[in-house]
Amino acid sequence: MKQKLNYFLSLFCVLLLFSCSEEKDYIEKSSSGSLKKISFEEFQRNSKAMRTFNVIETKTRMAKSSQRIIFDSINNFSIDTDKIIIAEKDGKICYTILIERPYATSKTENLVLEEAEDGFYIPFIFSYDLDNIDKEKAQNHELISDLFSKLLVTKPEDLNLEDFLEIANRTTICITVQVAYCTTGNHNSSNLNGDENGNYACTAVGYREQTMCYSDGGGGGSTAGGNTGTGYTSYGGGTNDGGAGAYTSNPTQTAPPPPNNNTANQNQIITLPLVDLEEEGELTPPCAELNAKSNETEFIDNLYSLKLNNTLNLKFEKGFIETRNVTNIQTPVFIPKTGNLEHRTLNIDPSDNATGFIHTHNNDYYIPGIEEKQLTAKIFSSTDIMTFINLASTTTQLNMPLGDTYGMMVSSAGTYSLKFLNSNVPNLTPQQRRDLHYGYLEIVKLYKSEFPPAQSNVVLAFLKLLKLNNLSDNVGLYEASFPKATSNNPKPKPNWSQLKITTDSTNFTKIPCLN
Amino acid sequence: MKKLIFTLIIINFTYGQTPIVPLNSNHLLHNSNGDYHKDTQNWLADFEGTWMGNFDGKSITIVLQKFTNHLFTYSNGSFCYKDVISGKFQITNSNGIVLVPFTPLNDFVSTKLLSTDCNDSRLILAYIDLFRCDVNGSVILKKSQTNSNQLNYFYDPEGFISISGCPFNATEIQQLPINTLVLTKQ
Repeated sequence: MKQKLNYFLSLFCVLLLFSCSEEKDYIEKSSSGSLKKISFEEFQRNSKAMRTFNVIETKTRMAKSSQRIIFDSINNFSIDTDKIIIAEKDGKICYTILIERPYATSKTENLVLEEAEDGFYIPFIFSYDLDNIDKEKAQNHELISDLFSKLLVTKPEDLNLEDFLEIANRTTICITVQVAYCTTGNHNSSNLNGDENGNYACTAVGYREQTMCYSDGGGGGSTAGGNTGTGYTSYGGGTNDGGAGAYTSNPTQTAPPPPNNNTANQNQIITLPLVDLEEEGELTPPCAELNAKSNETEFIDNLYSLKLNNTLNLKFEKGFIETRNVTNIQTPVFIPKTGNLEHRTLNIDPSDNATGFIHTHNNDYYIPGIEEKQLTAKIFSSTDIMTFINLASTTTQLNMPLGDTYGMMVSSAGTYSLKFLNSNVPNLTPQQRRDLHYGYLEIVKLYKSEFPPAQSNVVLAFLKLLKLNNLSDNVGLYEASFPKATSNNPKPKPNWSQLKITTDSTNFTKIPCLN
Repeated sequence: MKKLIFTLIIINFTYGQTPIVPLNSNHLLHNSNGDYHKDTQNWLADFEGTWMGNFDGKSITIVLQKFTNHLFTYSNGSFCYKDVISGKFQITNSNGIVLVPFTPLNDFVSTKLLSTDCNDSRLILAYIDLFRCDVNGSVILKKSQTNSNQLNYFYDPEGFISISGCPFNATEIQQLPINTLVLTKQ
C-alpha cells in the first residue's frame, strides 16, 4: 500500500507543469459539485487523505501559536486547520488548506490534496501571486483575472523527485487544474462559512480550467514564486516568467506538448484560492496562546530562572527576548538580556526580530546621598507596555500572527503577561505615551505611601492606567498561578487568568483560562 | 427665600466646586474625576527656582516652576487638576558651549520634567523626552540637611523605546547625568 502511495505521490506531485493549453471557462450548477469549509476533525476522518497529510507533515503540533496550527519543519510552513475547503465534483474530492509561512511573503499559498485513483491523495503547493484586489476577489470567490499566469504549482519539499523519475520513467505528465469561482448568487466573503450546513452558497459555480504539464529535460531556470532549488515550474496563459531548478518551462509556449503515451492528464484538481485576509478582531485567544507557551520547555526554564532571580539583588532588569526564527518557527530562540547603568530596562531593538519578552525588574535599592529607597513596581512599566505594543506593530507589518506577541513580567508579587485581545494594534499618540510614563510613576508612588502596597492595588492601578489611555479593549493583563512543585514535577506549568477591570473601575475580576 | 438661598449654597458646593484632595493622592486609585490635587502645604514652592550643579566637567542648570490648578486630561475623557512643578534643563561644557538647550516650561506635552510626588523634604519629577525615543526615568531632588540652598540630585533611568528610525543609540540617548550630584540655588 505504501508503495502505491509513493507511486502516486511521485507520479503526480513531483511533476509539474508547464502550460499546455489555454485557460477556459465553463459554468455549472453548483448542484453538480460542492465546495464547503470543513473542520480539521472532519478532514481527519478521511484516512486516505490523512495518510498523505502525514507523509508531508512532520506532525509537530506546534506550541508556537495555537492548537489550530500544525507546523511542518521540513517544508517550513504552518497549516491553519481552521481553513480547509473540501471540493467534490464528478465523484472526486480535493482538499485545499491555507499555508502560513514563518516569514514575510507576498505569496498566497495553499496545500492542495487531490484525490487520485484508488482514493489516494496527492499533495501540491499552489502559490498564487495575488495583489490586494485579487485577494479581495478570492475572498469573495470571484474570478481572478489572468489566474493561471499568477499560479505556480510545486510539490512539497520532502517528496523525492528521483524516486519519482525512476518509477514513472516518463517525460511529460499533465494535470488539469480547475479553479472554482462563484458566477451567480450570493458570493460575499461570509459565504465561505455558507449556510448552516457549511455549503458554499453559490447558485452557479464557474471553473477556470487549464491543463498544466511537467516536462523533463528543460534547462536551468530562475527561481519563481519564492520557490528555489527543486521547484517545478508551472505557468499558464504564457505570462509566468520563470522556472526553477532543472525544470524550466518555456514562457512563450502556449500549445500543448506532444502527445505522450505515458502522459497522465486525466488527473483533475478542483480548488479555489484560500487567502489569508485576517478578519478585523480575529485573533487566537490569548488563553490558548499562553497555555501553548507554557508547554514550551525552554520558556518554562526561563520563567523559573527569573522567578529564582527575584531573590537576588538585581540592579538592572534581567530577562529573555524570544526572537523569530525565520527558518524554523517551531523552535523559539530566547536571547538573554539585561539592563545597564544608563537604562535599567531591557532594551529590545527592532533588529532583534522579537515576538515577546519575559523579564524581571531590578530590586529596590538605597540611593546614596538621598538616603531613600528607590522602589520598583511589581508590575509592567510604561516602557514595558510600549515595547509590547511596538513588538505588535512589527509583527503586523511582517504579516505574522499577532497572537504570538507577548510581554511577561516576573516578580516576587506575581507573574504577569500582556496579550492582545484583538487585532487592533494601538498607534499611541504623544499624549498617550506621556500619560503612560507619567501614570506609571503614579503606580510607583503607591510603594511610597504604603510598603509594600497590596498587590491587588498595584494591579488595579495598572488596569486603570490602561483604561485611562483607552488601551483596555486592546491590551489584556494575565496573571500566572503556579501549582506546587514536586520532586517529579519541579517546574509545574502555570495556570493563567485574565485580570479585567470592572466597569466602574473600582475593582477587577479574575477570569481563569481553561486548559 | 431662605430655602432658596440655602438650596443655591448647596448646589454651589455640590456642582460649582472642584473637590480638593491631597497633592500626593493617587489619581489611579483613590480619586474621582475632576479632583483637584492641591498643594495645600505649599511644598512645591521650596523647589522653585534655578539650580546648578557640575558633573563630568559639565554644568547642568535646572529651572523649576510651579503651575497651579493645571488640567490633566486622559484619552478616555477622564480629567483632574493638579498643582505641579514643570522643569527644564540645560547642559553646557566647560567652555560654556550649550550641549543640551532648554525646552519650553509651559508646553506640557513636550516638557521634560514634571513633578509626580512631593513632600516637605523631597520632590520627584518624571523625566520624559518624547523626542528622544521616549527615554524616561525619574529625578529625585532632596533638600540638603546642611544647606537650605542646596538639593541633592539623583536620577533613576528607566529606559527608552527602541523603534525603527530612532536616531539615537543607547549610549547617547540619555541626557540627564546619572551621577548623584549637588545642585545649588542661583
